[in-house]
Amino acid sequence: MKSLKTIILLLILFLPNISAHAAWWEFGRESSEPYFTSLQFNSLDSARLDDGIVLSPDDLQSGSIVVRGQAQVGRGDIGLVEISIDEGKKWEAAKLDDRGMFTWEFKPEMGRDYLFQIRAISTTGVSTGAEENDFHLLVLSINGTAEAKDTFRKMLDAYTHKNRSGFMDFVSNSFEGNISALEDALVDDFRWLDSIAIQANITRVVSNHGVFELYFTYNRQVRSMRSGQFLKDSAASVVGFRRTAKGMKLVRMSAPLIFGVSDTANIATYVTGQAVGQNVLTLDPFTGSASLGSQGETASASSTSGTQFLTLNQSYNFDTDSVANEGPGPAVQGDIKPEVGVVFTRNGVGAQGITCPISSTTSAPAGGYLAQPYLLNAQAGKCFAMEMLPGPMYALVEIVSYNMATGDLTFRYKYQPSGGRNF
Amino acid sequence: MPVCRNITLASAVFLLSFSSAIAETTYQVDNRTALLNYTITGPGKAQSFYDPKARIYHESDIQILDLPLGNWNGSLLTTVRYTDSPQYDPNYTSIQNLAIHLTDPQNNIDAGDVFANLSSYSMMKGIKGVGFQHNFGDDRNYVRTTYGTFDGQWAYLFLNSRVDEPMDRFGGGIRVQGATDDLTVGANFAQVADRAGDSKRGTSNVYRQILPAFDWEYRSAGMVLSGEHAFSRTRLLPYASTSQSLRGSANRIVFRGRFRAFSLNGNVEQVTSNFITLGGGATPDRVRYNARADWRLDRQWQLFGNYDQFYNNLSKQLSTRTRYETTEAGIIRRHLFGSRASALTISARSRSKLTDDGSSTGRSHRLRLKYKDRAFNNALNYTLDYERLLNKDKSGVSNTYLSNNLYHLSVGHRGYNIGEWKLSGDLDFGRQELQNPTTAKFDVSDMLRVSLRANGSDGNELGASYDLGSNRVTVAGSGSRQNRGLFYFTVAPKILHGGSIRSEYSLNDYRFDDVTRNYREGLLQVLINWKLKK
Repeated sequence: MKSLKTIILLLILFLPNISAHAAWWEFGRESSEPYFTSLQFNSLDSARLDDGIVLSPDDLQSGSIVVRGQAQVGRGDIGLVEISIDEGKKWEAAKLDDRGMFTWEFKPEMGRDYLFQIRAISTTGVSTGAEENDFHLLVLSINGTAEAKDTFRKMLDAYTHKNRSGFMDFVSNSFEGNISALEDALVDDFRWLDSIAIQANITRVVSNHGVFELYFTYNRQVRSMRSGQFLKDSAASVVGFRRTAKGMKLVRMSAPLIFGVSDTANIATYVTGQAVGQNVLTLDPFTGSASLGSQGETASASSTSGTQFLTLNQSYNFDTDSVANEGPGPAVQGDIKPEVGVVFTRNGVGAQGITCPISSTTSAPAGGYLAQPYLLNAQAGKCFAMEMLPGPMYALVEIVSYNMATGDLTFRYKYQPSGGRNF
Repeated sequence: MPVCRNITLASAVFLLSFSSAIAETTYQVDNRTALLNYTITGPGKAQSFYDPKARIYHESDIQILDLPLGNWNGSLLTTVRYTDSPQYDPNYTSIQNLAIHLTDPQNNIDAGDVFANLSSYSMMKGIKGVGFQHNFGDDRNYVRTTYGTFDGQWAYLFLNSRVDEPMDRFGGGIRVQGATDDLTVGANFAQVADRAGDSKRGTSNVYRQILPAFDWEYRSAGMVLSGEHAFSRTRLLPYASTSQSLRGSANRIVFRGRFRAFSLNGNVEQVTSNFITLGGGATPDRVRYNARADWRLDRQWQLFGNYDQFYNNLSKQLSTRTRYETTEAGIIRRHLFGSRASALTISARSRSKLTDDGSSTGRSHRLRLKYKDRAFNNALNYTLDYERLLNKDKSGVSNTYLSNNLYHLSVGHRGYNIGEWKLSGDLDFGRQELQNPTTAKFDVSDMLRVSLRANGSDGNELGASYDLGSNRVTVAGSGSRQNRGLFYFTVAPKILHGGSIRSEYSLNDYRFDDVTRNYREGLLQVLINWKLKK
């Protein structure tokens, strides 16, 4: 509802302007002043430029740049479009049709920084504003593949040095995941992880029409600020870049994520098939709990898994991946706690027996959980599905060994921190 | 491994046989050889990330370009690798990339590593296989088809014993695109299937799917309207359960417009929870609306706004639906103080995460100030960035208020010319003050980075950098400090034909509140880039 109110408020603010002025967006302009509605350098769209445009040899067509676009004017027609690349000393007329569409071609020198200027003049003699469409144009001799690799290396550098602002400079506004989630995930990554070291090995680059996909394997190590533990993972993943007027920009990432691990579900566009089932780094942004979890088949279903050993009166919490020493009795603070002859569960945990092994179980049952304060018939070789409130959250437990005389318990588990039943 | 060696040898023979026959064709071999030596010391050295041995890593890019084959223009690109470091590859030799391209005025044929590029929902993936495109007149009207294996590495095709190899997956499709001056439409059909009988399947699910998709783009003066609509039909065969048939759809409409000084981008997308794309990309179970607008009042002032909303759990598989909303507005003032490069950005953002059942809410308010400019005749560029975040999280009946401050200063110098050398440098300083939810006090992280370079006109380079990272955490025993120093020099002797030799030594010192974890890494690397070209 709040969003609806915001939209209504914006409409109220803008509608009077629309009714008062036919061209309400023309702040401080005359309708006889020409303007550019599109401007392209070969396949690169440069609708709005601030800092300039950088091209690579891949962006050239037979060594040339073809400038295409359209100029329009409220009153009259476009009579002339002129371009200069030598700081205004010489202006050349572009080919122009009666709709204001124009083309102009030139062969740039590699590495030369051109001051590109373009102006449109209407048939009534009015020109676009001075310096309105001036910007620097540079053609680097580096090819797209090398530029994509170089950009990826710079992003790794920014990430390992916790430079969020520098990192986001390489992210496209048309990033296919949630760009706000990515920026927030970086804050959480840098908040909960330190000593970040990543060794990425690019195995191949494939490109098509300005899109570059980098396939890589990585070795990564981080230290959890919360637990002080070092965590290492190795997997394969993919990042995608697109050539833009401002250089190579990140447009998509696949899971397992190399950046922004604290919010994989909202950032990753898809999952790298080669990584499914491998243990990868997961980070809960709310608790700061970092662990290694199995990469699921969808980015939002990255469950954690592991083997845990507990002695008498020790409890284990799936969500925080932590062990606590507790007193005897059924008042359990963690999720599961062994004692002599019984394995207690927390109040609010329901459980039921399932078929072993849990490695071949991909989802927890939807119903049938018994709200008892212990696991029924807990012994080695038995498997259980657990439903835990609040949430509910789901876990699968396989008892590897349980010494009823001493209370020593070893179990394998899968846990789904996203709240789903699929693992 | 012997197979890979033979292929490498075959590539070389192929290269040599053509090099003597056709003069106008370009033959090029770019070689990268790295000699690595890591030394790890300290009580916590087992924590080190590196393999504490001397290693070699070599890659060769072999390229044959503009090879005339009748009416076709051919090229071959392959990258082969040798390494004795298991951190990079369990195999000593491997083919990293192998691609063959044939083109004539109307046709393209690709084989080997091919980018299967249909549409973003249906297929956009690097595969190993074949691709063909026939253009009707220009490259905006074409039919494109592709098929191959999704194997990530060539070794998976040759060496079936690789432990990290996943189940075989094959797929491809066809795309037909037609275009006029204003309108472009594309029809796509993708098909992907796993090989259920593959010995590498393990306990994985098996998928078989078909995915038709239709995409379009309409361009008019100052605006682009585009969209894609896809439907997936997937047969899912779980390892220990009965098969399921999953059907889902995905729809996206994107608007990008520029009306003189006003620019508007909008995006609406819905992806159902059972929409699965094995070759393309989509985040299932989402509805998303996004709009970005900016309004350039004149050359000095610009207003911008961003609204983003999405919510998940369309099929209510999870316990509750969650809605995320972000609203941002700001202003940019350029050309301050008479400087053409200056820009001051002030923005405010509000972000919320709300569960439908009210069990938890999170709100984050951000104020951001950013100023960038150049000084000393544009030789020095600098950026100042400050953010203040106020977060309020509610879970059940308890509220948590946390605030964060983020500072960042970045300074770069274009360089002084001293004789044939150009000296340049960069400085980065950042600080994070993050309120710890356990102690309610601020955890402070500092980052400092200084780098200096001297570049010679002959391609030689000398440089050094120093990094300092410090984390002062209010939870006892969790703090850490890292110091990293790097020194390197690069020479570019003419005998290497544009190649170079870079030698670098870096020392990384990691210290922790728990001193038993301390360790130090000394990394010596010699990187040789050398080229052969004809």
